[in-house]
Amino acid sequence: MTYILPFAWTVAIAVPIMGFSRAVMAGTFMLAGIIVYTAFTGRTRRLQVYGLLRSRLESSFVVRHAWILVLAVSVIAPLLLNSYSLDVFTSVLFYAMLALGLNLLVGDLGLLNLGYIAFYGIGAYTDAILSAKFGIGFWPSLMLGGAAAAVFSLVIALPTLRLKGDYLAIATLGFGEIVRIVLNNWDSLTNGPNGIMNIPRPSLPWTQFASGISFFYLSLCILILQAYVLVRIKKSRFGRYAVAIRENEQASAMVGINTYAVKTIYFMLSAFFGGIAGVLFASKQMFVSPDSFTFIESVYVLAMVILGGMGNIAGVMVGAFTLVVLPELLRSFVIYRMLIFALLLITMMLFRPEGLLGKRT
Amino acid sequence: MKIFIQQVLNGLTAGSVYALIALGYTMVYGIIELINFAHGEIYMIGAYGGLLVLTLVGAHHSSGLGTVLLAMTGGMLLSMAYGLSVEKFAYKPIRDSSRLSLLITALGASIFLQNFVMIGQGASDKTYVSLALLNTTFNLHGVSITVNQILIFAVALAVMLLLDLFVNRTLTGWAMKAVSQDPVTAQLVGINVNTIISITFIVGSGLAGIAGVLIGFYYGMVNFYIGYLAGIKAFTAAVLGGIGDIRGAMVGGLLLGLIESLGAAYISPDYKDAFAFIILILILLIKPSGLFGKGQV
Repeated sequence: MTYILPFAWTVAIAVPIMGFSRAVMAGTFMLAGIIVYTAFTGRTRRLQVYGLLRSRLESSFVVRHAWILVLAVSVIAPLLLNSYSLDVFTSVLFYAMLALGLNLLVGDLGLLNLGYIAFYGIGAYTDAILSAKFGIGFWPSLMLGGAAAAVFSLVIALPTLRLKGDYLAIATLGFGEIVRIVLNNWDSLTNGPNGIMNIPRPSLPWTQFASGISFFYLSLCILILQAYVLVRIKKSRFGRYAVAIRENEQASAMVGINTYAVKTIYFMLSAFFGGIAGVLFASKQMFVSPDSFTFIESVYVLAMVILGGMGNIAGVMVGAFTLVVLPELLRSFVIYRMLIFALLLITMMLFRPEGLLGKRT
Repeated sequence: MKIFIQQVLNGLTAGSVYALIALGYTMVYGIIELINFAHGEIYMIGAYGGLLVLTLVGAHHSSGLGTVLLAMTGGMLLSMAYGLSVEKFAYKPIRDSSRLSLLITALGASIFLQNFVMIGQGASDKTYVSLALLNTTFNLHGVSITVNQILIFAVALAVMLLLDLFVNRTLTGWAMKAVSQDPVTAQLVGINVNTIISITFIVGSGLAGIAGVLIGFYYGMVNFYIGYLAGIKAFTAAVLGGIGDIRGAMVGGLLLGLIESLGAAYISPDYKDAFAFIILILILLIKPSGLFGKGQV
C-alpha cells in the first residue's frame, strides 16, 4: 500500500496535465523516489557510508591540497579550449562569484535572498551606463558597480532585516522584479528592452583584455581575490558573529552582538560582490539587456549554493561548476532542465540540507 | 470621474481574484508558518483544470452558466489534488527542518509545478472559450461592466462568506484555529494536527483553483507562468491585510487590486506590476504586521 497508493495518486493527478503515458512515467518517478526515501529513513537514517567516506577523504593529503590542482587546471585549461568552451568556463567564473556572494547570506546567515540577480543587474547596468555612455572606464566602474549594488541593497535590508527571515525572502523577490521592471521601462537611462550596446572591454596601460582568454584570466584573478576576502571574513570575529546569528539570533543578541548591524553589513557585502560580478559580465558580453536578470537566474545561483554546500566556499564553487557545465553536456534535455533543478532543490533539502560538501552542524 | 469609476471596477475585479488566492497563503501561513511559494502554481493548475473541463464537455460560444460552474468545480478539484500532493510529498517530510529548508523546498515545489505543466501543456498560451453570456456588457452612464466581472464579484463574495462560516462556525474550523495558535496543545486535546494541516491546504488550494478558472474566463487564456506573478501579488495582499488573518487577506486583496488599477491609470501603466512590490516593501517598512494584524512578526 505504501507504494501503490502514491503511484496511483500521482498518475491520477498527472493525467489531466500531461496525458496517460507521461503520467505513468511521473508515477514511476514518484515510486522510485519513495523507495529511495524509505531506504534512507529506515533503519539507517542516513547513509553511514557517505559520512565515513567523507571523513576519510577530508583528511587525505590529496583532498586537502586539491585546491592547488584546481588552480593549476584553471590556469592551464583555457589555453587548450576552443572559444565556445572558454565562454562556458568564463561563465562558470561569473556564477561562482555570484554563488559566493549569495552564500554570504544563505550559507553564513541562513537568510534567503530570492532577488540576488538584481544586484548582478545593477552592477552590469552601472558599467554599461558609466562606461558606454560616459566613458568612465572599467576599473572605476568595477568599484562603482559593486558600491551601487550595495547602496541599493539597503532599500531591502533596512525594512526587512528586523523581521523574520521569511519576509526577507519575499521582499527580495519583489525587489528583483522591481529592478527588472525599471530596467525594462526607464528608456532614457537603460534603453528599455533593447539594452545597451558597445560596452568597452577593460584595459590596463600595457594591455587590453580584448580576447576571451585574457578576460578569463582577469575574471579568475578577481574570483580568487573574492574567495580570499571571503575566507578572511569567515575567519574574522565578524564571520563568527554571522554564524552565531544563524544558529541562534536571540542568544547572539543577548551576548551583545548587534545582530541588525551584522546582518545589514553582510547583506551589503553580498550585494557588493553581486555588483562586481555584474560589471565583469557586462564588459565580457559588451552588451546588457533586462532579459539576463530574471527570477529564474536567482534560483539558478541559489541552487549552486545549495548543491555545493551552504557556508562552504569550496563547495559553492563546485556547485557553480556543476550547474553550469552539466546543462551544457545535457543539451538534449533542455526542457527538463528546470524540472531537474527543482527536484534537486527539494531532494537536497530532504536528504542533505547542508549540501554535498557542507559541514553538518 | 467615469474613468475613475471604471478603474475602481476593474481594480475590484482583479482584487477579488487576488483575495481568493491570498486566502490560501494566509491560511497556510497561519497554520504552519510557511510561505507556500507553490500556491501561485496551484492557481495556475486550477486554470488548466477549468480548461480541461471546457474541452471535455465541448463548451462553445453559447454555453450557459452551468458550463461555467462545471469548469470552476473541475479547476477547484484539480487544484485541491495538487495542493494536497505538494503538502504530503514535499512539505510534510521536512516539516521539522529549519525555516530556510522549508522555504527552499517551497520554492522548489513552485518551479517543479511550473515546469511540470509546461512539459505537459506546452509553453504557448491556451485559449479559454469565449462565452457570449460572460461577455455581455452593461453600460451605466458610460461605465461598463461585464457579466464576467459580476460573476467574479459574486463568486468571490460567496466563497469568502462560506469560508468565514467554515472557519468560525464549524468544528473543523475551530480545530484549524487551535492548531494555528498552538499545535502541541491542539494535539493534546485530541486534534489530529496532520489532518488539519492537510485540510487547510485542500481548502486554500480549492479557492486558488476557483480563482484560476475565473481569471481564465476573464483574460481568455492561460499559460504555465501566470502563477508566478499572481502568486507574489496575492502574497503581498496577504501581508497587506496581516498575514495569518483571513478577513485581512480579503481586504488586502481588494485593496491591492484597487491600488494597481488606479496606479496604472493615473501614474504609469508600464509600472503596473511594480506597484504591488513597492507596497510590499512599504508595508514591511511601516507596519509589518499588516493593516489588521496584531501578532509579532
